Amino acid sequence: MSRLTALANGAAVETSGLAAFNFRDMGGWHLLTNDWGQFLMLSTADFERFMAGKVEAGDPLYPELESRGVMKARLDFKQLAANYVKKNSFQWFPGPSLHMIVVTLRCNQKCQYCHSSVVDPSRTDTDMDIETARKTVDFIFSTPNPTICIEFQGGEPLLNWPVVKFITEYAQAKAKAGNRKLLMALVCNFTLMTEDKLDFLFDHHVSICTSLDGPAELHNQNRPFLGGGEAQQKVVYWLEKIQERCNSDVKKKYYLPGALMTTTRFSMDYGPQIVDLYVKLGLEQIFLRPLSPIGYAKRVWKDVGYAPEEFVRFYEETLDYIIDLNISGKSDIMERMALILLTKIVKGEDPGFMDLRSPAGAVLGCLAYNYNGEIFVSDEGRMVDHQGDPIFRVGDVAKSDWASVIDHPTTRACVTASTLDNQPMCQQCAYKPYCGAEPVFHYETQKSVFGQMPTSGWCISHMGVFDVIFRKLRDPRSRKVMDKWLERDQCRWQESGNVPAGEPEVVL
Amino acid sequence: MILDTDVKERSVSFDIPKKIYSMDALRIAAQILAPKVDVYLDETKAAYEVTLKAKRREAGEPQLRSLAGEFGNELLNQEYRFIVGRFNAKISSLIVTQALMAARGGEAPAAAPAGESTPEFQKLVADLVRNAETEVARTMPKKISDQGTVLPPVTEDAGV
Repeated sequence: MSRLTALANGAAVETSGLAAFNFRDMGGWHLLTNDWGQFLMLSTADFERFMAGKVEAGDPLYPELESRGVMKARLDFKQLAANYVKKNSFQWFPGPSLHMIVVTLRCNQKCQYCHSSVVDPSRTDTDMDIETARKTVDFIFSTPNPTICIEFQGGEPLLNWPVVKFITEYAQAKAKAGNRKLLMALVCNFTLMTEDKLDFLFDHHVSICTSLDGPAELHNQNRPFLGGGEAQQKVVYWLEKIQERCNSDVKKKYYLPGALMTTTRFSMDYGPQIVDLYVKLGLEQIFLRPLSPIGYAKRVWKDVGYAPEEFVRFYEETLDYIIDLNISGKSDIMERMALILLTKIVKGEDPGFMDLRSPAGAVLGCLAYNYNGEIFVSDEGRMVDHQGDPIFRVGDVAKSDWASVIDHPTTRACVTASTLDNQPMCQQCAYKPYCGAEPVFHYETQKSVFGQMPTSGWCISHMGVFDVIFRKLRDPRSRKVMDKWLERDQCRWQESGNVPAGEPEVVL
Repeated sequence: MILDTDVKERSVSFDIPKKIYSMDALRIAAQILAPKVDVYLDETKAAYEVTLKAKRREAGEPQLRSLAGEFGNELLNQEYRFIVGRFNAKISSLIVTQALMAARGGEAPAAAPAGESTPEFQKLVADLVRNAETEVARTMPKKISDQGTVLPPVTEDAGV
């Protein structure tokens, strides 16, 4: 059954005065949105009056309807066009800014949702070599975006530390020679961190992010060491250590470490405990991320996965807990998914989140590079390749140029499939201005890059999260907290190259 | 949709009205369900006669009915996608073209910056490569502890 909502049977509609918009019955009130990114929350009575053409000049509701671009005769095209461009700035970006380099497939952990995507630490044949690393950086600098963000991923990238160092220094030399803006980030599990490595990362302005799934019993169940053993204490140790160093030096405070959690079935009972740990560690954000049934996670879904409705319930309960902590003054921790959506909805800006764009960020916003130089539309596309299906491979750093990657049939298919105006259901959905469809997810779950939205887990979970966020926006207590989060504006949207005001220029 | 199942043959058959569904939609739906079923087509003047043969050997009556349902959902999805595609063709073409053209960044690739051809830059890169190769030879391959570095780590070499 469709999750789209319809007008009540027999509702009076006078269409001549209505501009184009989508709507959703939220139970007692209606949400209206349009392609310009404007939204409006109306009581059902006001919505019915508006639809019947009974709101006229002089009505208290009239100015609001007029300002939101839903009245055909009162459209301010200049302002609406400016809103559209601001919200969809990525449609004008000259190529990808986020480049994810997998410097090795080796890993010393055996995570429940990933362990077949990595190989044993002894398999150095899956390390990127210096020549491939050099060609990868050369390819990245041949793409046209003036801002480049290189993100090291794995496997565990610290297992190929010499190549991480080489890429960092070589990319910085090229950025200086070519006057390009360069951001560097390392995503690692922290268990192989050392003081020397940390010194190098600080000295070269590489921001650091790790995985922290929650309290020890949960993290260690989700992310055990390859040979058994508990990893969580090492993550906590290094998070505290790095924060200590950041807080002791004003120049380093901009490089406070981040942590990401992945929600598995085992996480469902731990929402408040996960948040409490993030608060205790002084992390400014928590990102309640669902697990995607892509790559190895797809094979073990029955053991670690869950229904999308279960994730939405977990998300709402945990977000409630976070908001209560904020209201009571016990913590000012922010939830990143909420912040991403609020940036789109309330600020009308693109937060640089690749998954929720139309068209999606695949190739247009990001590329993933495997250890052997193969180029993929995204890291998820690389994971599909690791399972034996090369469909999302769009090039090779040794042979391809940028034009061949952007002109690749897979690139075009991904861009077309993820444009929501082409999608049944999406094109009518009230969340269309803020949402996106992910072609790799749908290929993996529904065997088509277009997907089938009425039965798509992606759609169910994202619509559920949007429902939660809009209900919170309608609640004054939650709205106050969310407005404060937006005012703090501490999100570093590295993917799009945006950095907060006051961030020191990186001296290369 | 009237289903005609044959458990022995692991097959289910049904008719699809030509008035509503196109051959293109049928072909795409068949392609998407190809991992689960073989699809056989015949036709009359008014309908396509579809037979799905399950690839799983243990497919019983409920599974066959479920496969027919899945096929019907996908067929509807594809046919509706064609309608939406035609309806929004202008705006979606504009968005896709805009995004691809902007990402392309122009017809000719930018030349390497002049700064990269200086002797200083070339020497810097040669040094970086040499240092990296030396470090690779020095540090790898090496057996590392499955539990990572010991706490508190003392030097870079101690744990690897």
